[in-house]
Amino acid sequence: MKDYFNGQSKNYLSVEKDKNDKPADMAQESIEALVIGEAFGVIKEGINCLTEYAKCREHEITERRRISAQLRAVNNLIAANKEIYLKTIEEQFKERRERYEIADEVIKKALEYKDKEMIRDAYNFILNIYHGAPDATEFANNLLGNQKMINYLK
Amino acid sequence: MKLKEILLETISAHYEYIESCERDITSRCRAIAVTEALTQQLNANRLIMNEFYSKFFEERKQLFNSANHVLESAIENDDPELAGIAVTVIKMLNEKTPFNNEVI
Repeated sequence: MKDYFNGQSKNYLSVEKDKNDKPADMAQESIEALVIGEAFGVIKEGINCLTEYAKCREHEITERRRISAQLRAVNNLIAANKEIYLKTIEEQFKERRERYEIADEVIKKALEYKDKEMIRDAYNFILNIYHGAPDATEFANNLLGNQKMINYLK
Repeated sequence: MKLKEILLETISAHYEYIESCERDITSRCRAIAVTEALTQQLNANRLIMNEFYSKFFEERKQLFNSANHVLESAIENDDPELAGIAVTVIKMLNEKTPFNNEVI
C-alpha cells in the first residue's frame, strides 16, 4: 500500500508546551509535598505546645513540692511552739503554786498565834502574785500571732 | 487549609486545658495545705488556752479555799477584823478575771 504522507513529519500532534503546564505525576508530587509541609507545620506546633506544657507541669510540680515542704515546716513549728507554751504555763503556775503554799503555811501559823498582821501580810503577798498572773487576752494574741507563718504557704 | 487550622486550634486548646488542670491541682494543694496548717494551729491554740484556763481556775480555787478557811475561822472565833481581811481577799480574788491584769 502506498503511503501518501510518507516524508511528512509524524509529529503532527505535538504543540509547543506551555511552561506552566505540568504533567499529571508532577502535580501529584506537588500536592504530596504541600500536604507533607502542612503536616510538618502541625507536628511542629504540636511539639511547641507539648514543650510549653512540659515546662508548665515541671513548674507546678516544683510548686507543689514547695507547698508540701512548707506545710511540714509549719506543722513542726506549730508543734514546737505548742510544747513551749505548755511547758511555760506548767512551770509558771507550778512556781506560783509553790509560793502560795509557803504563804498558806504562814497563814496557818498566824491563825494559831492569832497574828492578824501576819495574815494581812501573807494575803498581801498572795494577792500580789495573783494579780501578776499572765493575761489571757495577751496570751491568745501571742498565739494568734503565730498564724503569720501560715502566710508562707499562700 | 481549613483542616490545618482546625488541627492547630484543637492541639492548642487541648494543651491549654491540661496546663490549666495542672495549675488547678496546685491551687487545690495550696488550699488544702493552708486549711491543714490552720487546723493544726487552732488545735494547738485550743489545747494551750485550755491548759491556761484550767491552771488559772485551779489556782483561783486554791486561793478561795484558803480565804474561806480564814473566814470560817474568824466566824468561829467571833473575830470581825479577821473576817474583814478574809472578805477583802475574797472580793479581790473575785474581781480579777483571766482576761485582764487590772482589777475591775
